[in-house]
Amino acid sequence: MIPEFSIIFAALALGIVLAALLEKRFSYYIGIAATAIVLVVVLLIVAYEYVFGASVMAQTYAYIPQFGVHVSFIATPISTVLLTMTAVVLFAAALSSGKNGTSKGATVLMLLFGLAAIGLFSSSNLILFFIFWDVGVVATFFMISYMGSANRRSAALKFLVYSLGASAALLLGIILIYFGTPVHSFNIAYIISHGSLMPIGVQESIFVLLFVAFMIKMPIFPLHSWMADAYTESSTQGSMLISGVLSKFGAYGMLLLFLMMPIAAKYSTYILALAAISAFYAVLVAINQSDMKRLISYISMLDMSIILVGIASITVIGREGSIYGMLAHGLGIALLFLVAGSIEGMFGSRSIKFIRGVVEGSASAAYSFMLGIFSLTGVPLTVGFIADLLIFIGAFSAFGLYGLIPLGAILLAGGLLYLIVSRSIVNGRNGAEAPYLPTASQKAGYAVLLLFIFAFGMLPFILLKIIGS
Amino acid sequence: MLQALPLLSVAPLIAAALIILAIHRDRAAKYIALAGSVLSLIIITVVALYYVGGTYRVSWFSLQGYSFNITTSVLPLNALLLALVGIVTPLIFLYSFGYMDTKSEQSRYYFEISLFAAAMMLFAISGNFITMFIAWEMLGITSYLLIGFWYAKKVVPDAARKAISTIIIGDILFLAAIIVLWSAYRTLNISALLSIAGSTVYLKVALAFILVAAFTKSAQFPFNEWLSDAMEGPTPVSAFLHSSTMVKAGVFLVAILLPLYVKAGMLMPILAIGLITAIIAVMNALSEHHIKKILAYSTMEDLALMFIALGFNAIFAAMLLFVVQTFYKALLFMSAGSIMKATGEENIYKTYNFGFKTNKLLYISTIIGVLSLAGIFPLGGFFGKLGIDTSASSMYIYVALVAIDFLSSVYIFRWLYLPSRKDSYLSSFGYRTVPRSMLAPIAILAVLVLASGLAYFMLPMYYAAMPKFSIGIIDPLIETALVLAGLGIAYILYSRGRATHVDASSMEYKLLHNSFFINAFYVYLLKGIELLGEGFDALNDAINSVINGGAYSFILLGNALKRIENGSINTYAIAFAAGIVFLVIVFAMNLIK
Repeated sequence: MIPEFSIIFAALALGIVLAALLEKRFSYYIGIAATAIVLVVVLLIVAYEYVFGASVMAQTYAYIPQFGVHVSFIATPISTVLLTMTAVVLFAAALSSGKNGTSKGATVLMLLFGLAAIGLFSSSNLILFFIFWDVGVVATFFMISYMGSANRRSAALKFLVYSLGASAALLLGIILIYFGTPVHSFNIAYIISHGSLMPIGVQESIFVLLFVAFMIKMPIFPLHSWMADAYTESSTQGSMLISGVLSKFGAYGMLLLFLMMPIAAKYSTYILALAAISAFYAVLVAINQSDMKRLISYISMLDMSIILVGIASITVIGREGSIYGMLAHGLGIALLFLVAGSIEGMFGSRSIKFIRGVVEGSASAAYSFMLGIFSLTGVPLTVGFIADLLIFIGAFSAFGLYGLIPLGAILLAGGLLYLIVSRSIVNGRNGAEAPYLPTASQKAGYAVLLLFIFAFGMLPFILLKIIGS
Repeated sequence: MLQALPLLSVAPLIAAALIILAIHRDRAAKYIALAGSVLSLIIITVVALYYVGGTYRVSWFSLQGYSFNITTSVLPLNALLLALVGIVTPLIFLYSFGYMDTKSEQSRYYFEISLFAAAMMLFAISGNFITMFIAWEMLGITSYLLIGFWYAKKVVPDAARKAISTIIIGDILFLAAIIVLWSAYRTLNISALLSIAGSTVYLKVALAFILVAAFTKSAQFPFNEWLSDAMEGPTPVSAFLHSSTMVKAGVFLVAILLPLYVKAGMLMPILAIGLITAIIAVMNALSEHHIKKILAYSTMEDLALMFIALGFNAIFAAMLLFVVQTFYKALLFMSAGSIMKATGEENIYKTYNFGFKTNKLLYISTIIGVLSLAGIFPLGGFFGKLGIDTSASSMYIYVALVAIDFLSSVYIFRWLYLPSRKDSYLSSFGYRTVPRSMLAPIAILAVLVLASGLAYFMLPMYYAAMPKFSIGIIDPLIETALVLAGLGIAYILYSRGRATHVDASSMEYKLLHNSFFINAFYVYLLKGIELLGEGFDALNDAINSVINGGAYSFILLGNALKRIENGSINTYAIAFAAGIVFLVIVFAMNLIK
């Protein structure tokens, strides 16, 4: 048995150490090498699980045996998909940062963030989950405040305050779970199978606490105020990772919460309503944004709300759809932020009033942006289609035609994004005079993300077989 | 494995891939594209001859034990559409050789249009809704790219956006319909769905969604506005879009699902929307000045007539017009493109000297197309229009249809007469320079238009389920008389040097050319959404400032409290003493109680 998680963590940890110790000129390559190893190992896990069925891969070491806490990693079907998404986004981020755009700190933080994400998605108990959650928060905080644009400090602080609130609620919830389970346990699999034995009152308190914590991370209206600032003020790679991967901390947690607490079924209608409001809210706020990245942030929030629709349906198909939706959102939104970063580089501005004629300067940026829109609006053969199809089949079987209402928000988002294309991407010729065109490394980043967007869109049976088992 | 052959008819897809990979791609693109389309025509011929009735499926992914397949099916209707696309595609590509004569951007053009053709072919052979939806979205996207092909021109990006934002409504509704149908019946196979018994609420909802989706693709009221703007695309694209692809997809979709619409009792909305659209289209076509837009409105009218026939449950009449319209509309668009190329003008009032003497082949072919559109015996259009007139269920609708026939005769002869006016000051040299690669497909199409009347006799042999309508004596006489009257009126009004001119500012123009103010409605709708967006943005800011205010209040509280902790012994001693006093008082109060 190959210790696949050891390889992943070793690669990332070694990358962090080397990037910190060696000179700056090596940082870029260290980042690429470490994330490439992660990607390869994760793809091998996917291949293995596809061929041999999802024989659950796990590695366990004792940590606090008195409380039954182990350092234990496991590639469940859900984690496998999220690990894939994380590995691809990490690799694309590392690749696209470019030799000149990479600093020692950036590489260290990126790899640390990757470590946190992979640890969180594969941790088999809640203590580990919580530890990696907070490592992720710390890495993100520094990523925003260290590498962002003008208002990064306040954005980072705002993010931190929200995250601390979420962490506090999460920790409290985890402690309640521990004492609520019949045999006190942090083990996620155990809690999922025995969650129904918990007293209703305890379940309700846990549900509320964790729901708020995960809602902040996703983010869902009305706890989203940190999001637009954090996504907008980060560096390009920061935005890609935060929007693509960090938001999945919340979505993954939400999915686990609905699996762990059967009481969730009682609230599912209200949660659908909340998700629908959040979706329409996000897209309507997006309409009036003039900052490219801010606009994409709200589109991201819309997509997270759609994922919540799938989770709230409490049907198997809806859940599988939401997992696929996390994959789709991670890849698609990372692509859009990467392109937005290139466009900002071209025009020296993020304001869509200044951005004119991107296609004249860089056809690859313009077309990648359009392909990203296709994925976000659920065009077949992109990964977004499978996600939307499954999510709304689930929503329809749970809520009837009301479940289809959030599709209206996707429609509005599509209209809005095509408006941006016609006004900024293809209109005018200013792009031809742009001094800084997207670099080869950025284009490589587009290529990686697009490759996986279409691969998982055209060959959905691979991951769906793993998820379904 | 031979059953998979129909899937191969999407050969232009391979061509598109090769165009990307080719080395001298700007030079090689057109040959690769043409080769791909000819190959697909060969395959389609084989498929249409030997594979009718066959289905082929390959599993795409499965879910909960249910398999989602890529299914092809070559039922007679599928074969019909496939054959039409197969015939028209190489002609369009050949026409593009002459029309798209710039050196650069050849590869982009042929890549996009090959993809577009492949999408339509996939649509034609799709046997379940998943396959169909893939083709449907590909059609929408590639048409968006093609309409916006000359994006550097000022109005083009907006025209393309208008198309895609209309089409995306249909896309989302189609997706919704797929979800509803699958959830209700656990199958997306079209022939399986056609055989379901009874009509449920969910069936009706899904059919309604699909109907709206079809209306967006086929540019029916109230989604008609994108079609005339789409004329900003290159002319071969317009010819393709309006003859056999894209707009036909909507009609075709309703046509194959017609038994379900009958079962659900939903023919009335199809008929009503068709009638409204036909009236709008004719009014616009009469007053339009743009040479291609007149034809665009004419397409809208043709499609509306097909929907009207479907609304009468007269599938044969609908499909007959479906077939003949393909050829005459492709021909007329190609003629329009040639006139535009010859004169460099888009405004029909500024084009002159189109005639027998300037370009014989082009002029004769164009006349054949015009006569067919107007409905002159024995051309295809005659049978097509007659079929729809005779299937009218009530006298009022019959009168309306005949009036529409009359008016369409007026506008199409106007379209012919205006460029045919003589102006000896203007050079007519341009007409002689129309390249052969543009004339050849026009001539071929003219032959096909001449032969398309035969479709009336051949279709029922091919597709037994379509009951033929019988041609009486009175109906053809009425129709022919009205068409000739239209011809006469158009001749009087438009064939002289000083043709009747409807100004864009005149009352008549406003009366005719308003599409029932649907465009204005959309402008207000978008304004409304924008305002809503501003409102929500303000709300968002408000939420943000409440939270910031909350955070700030903690800072203020901290500032206030930090004054107490000033390190002075005196302050602490006073506070200590005050605390003691306070406690004593509290205890004393308790004791007194």
